Amino acid sequence: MSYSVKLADEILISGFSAIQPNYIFSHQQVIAKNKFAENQPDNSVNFVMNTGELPEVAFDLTTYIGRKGLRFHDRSSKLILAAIKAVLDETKLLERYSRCDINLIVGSDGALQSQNDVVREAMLTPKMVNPKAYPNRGCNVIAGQASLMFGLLGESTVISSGYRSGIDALIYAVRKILVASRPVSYIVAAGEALSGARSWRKKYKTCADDYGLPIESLPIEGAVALTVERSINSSPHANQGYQVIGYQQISDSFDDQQGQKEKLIHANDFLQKFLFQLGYPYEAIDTVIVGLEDRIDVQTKAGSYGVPYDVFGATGLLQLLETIGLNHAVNGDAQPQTIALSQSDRQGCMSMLLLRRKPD
Amino acid sequence: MGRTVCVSGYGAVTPYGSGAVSSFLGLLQGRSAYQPATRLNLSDSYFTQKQIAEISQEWMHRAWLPEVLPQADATRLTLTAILEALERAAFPLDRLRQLRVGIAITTLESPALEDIAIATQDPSAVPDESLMELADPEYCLRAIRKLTGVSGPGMVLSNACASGNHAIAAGVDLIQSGEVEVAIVGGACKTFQSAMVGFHQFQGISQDTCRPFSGNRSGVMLGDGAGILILESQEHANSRGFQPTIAISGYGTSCDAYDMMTPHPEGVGMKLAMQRALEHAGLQPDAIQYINAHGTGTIQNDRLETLSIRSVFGTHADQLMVSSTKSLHGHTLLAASALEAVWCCCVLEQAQVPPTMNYECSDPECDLDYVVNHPRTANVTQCMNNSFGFGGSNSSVIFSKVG
Repeated sequence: MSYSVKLADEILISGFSAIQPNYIFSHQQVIAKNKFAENQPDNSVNFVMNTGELPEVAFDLTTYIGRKGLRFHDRSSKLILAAIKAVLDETKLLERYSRCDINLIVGSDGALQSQNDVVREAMLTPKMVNPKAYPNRGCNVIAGQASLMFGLLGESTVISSGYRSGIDALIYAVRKILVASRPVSYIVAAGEALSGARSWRKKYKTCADDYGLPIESLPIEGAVALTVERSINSSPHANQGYQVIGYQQISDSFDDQQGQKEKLIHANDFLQKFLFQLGYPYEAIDTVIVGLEDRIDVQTKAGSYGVPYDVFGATGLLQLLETIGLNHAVNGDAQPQTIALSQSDRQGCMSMLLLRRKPD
Repeated sequence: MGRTVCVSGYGAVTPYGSGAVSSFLGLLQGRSAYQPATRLNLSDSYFTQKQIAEISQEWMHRAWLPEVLPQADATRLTLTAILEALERAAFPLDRLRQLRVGIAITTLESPALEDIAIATQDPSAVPDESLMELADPEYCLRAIRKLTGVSGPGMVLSNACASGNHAIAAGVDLIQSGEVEVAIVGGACKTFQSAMVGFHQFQGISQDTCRPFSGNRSGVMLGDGAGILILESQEHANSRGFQPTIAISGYGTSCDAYDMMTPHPEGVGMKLAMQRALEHAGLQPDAIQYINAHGTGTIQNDRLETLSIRSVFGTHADQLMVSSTKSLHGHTLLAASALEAVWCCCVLEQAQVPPTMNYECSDPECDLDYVVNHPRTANVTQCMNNSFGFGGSNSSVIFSKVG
């Protein structure tokens, strides 16, 4: 039995930052541009599509997060930490809230490779396990690592749901703010480095090969970080923010025996129902991002395309942030007024979110 | 808090057996659950602790459920506890399917992650399909959905040893936000080899047994277990003619932001979690009569938890009963605070406080009333469940008697 939540309160995505192989960008600007990207056409989707040989983030992450303690961090954690640092710098969250009221939710299944590494080490060469690295890598408490780095004393939680991890972390944060009796802010982050474990998972578990897509989504490195807060508590620059209109998480949307194409059609049907329940006809939405595992389709008024990259649990959110940030900053594209985002897994668990641009 | 969130049912599986009440009886009797590990290979001299509080393989075999893979022991523990909790809540499965129900759990099939880690040494190896399935963090979540037929929001949380309380808090949020009427929360943990290694590597494992708050304590013991709560809005419970006797009055969460393993030296995060729970519940410190402590039996945790309790509760700290049931069933890691939440419910219903066992000598820095070595009869109406984990994650939940 499903139920969509329509928010009466104004809860905003008040800021964000993202890292992908060619750009580090925020809701306000392109923070850094990879040299390679300078020779590419000014369209972020094409950048990634054309950079088959450049799936790694080439930026020196220590520029953004310093060097202290970094030798204990795996690359996925470094990417997430750098994204969080960028969003904290831009939103001035640490100046606007007590550290006790800044919470952090990370969407992660446990940085896949590093968790494998530390667990394997524990099994085969126990004396070699670095006790400092064990909590983050072995127990998947990357949120604690990030809270420690930035001195955040609020909740620090990891949500694990595969490709849905990012959007689920965002919904978790929105729900927390909805029921909070005090002004609080949440940072939502997700990201993943390239690794053998990821390739292995994609090969044996994701099953995207029967889509008949012209382009297979390319695993890339990346990370996203978003700030979520009540409109009333947000800073003036959040005028450019996006309001969360509603969300829904359901689990019985597909028959397990259905093919991937049928599942994608069903995902669209469920999204339409969700939007209808919120009072928004599907056709009226400016940008619709529909994901099924690593396959993500984007529909805009101008046309549709498949997202050519895969950042595991951060993919949907990275595409969202490119749509509302990078494309605007690089190409001057108009920011969509309404965006629907959905992400499902092949078993039929589906998370959906509707955003509306806050009026200037 | 807005809507009143009740505990309509609870269930547990422990080394004492299946069932919350019979397991609680084991605690009241002070029966130690530790025995030489039969499942893990701890024969190497590297392992200085060879005992765990183990749920027997015989029990695992008896608790066969068609919904789960044979190796999915943690999921089997979870489902067994859920069935007990639903029965206690008077929820037949067909009724549950008609309701808006959310799930927040912490269960992982950790041994499968270990097997995958070994298997991926060889990139060309073709993995066993069932292993891939088990290693998915949502494996248990899906099994719960299959068993119960519920289709609402579901989440798997990871806050290391503080995960259980966070799952309870997430269930409270789901009900408070009006999103669901009922939430299934908690988790299970089957002790796994790499956890034993982790605790050995940072010297957190006890050399003999778990002696929380005792002057000669030397660390944790690990154990298997599952704890599940069925949360429900009071309004909904009443509408179906059910009268819950326990409510969740509030919760608090925080992060130390100090060290990934060691608690903050002034207990900043522990205090904040307890203060936030009291604030959320709208209670003064003197409303709490009992705390089920995190009480791992490590030098630092027990000292700092005591310090934090004193700081938050002031002079009332001397009136508080505090106990650590980890002394008896070990630290069940991801499931620890969910299991201990079940004991909080039992304390409220049975007016019996379980003991902190193995207490031998005092520590001047651990100077609270720890209900040592014997249970105590006490009509507790409000109690707190503390839980602190790696990464500095802290959580406290307050349970109250209703009606």
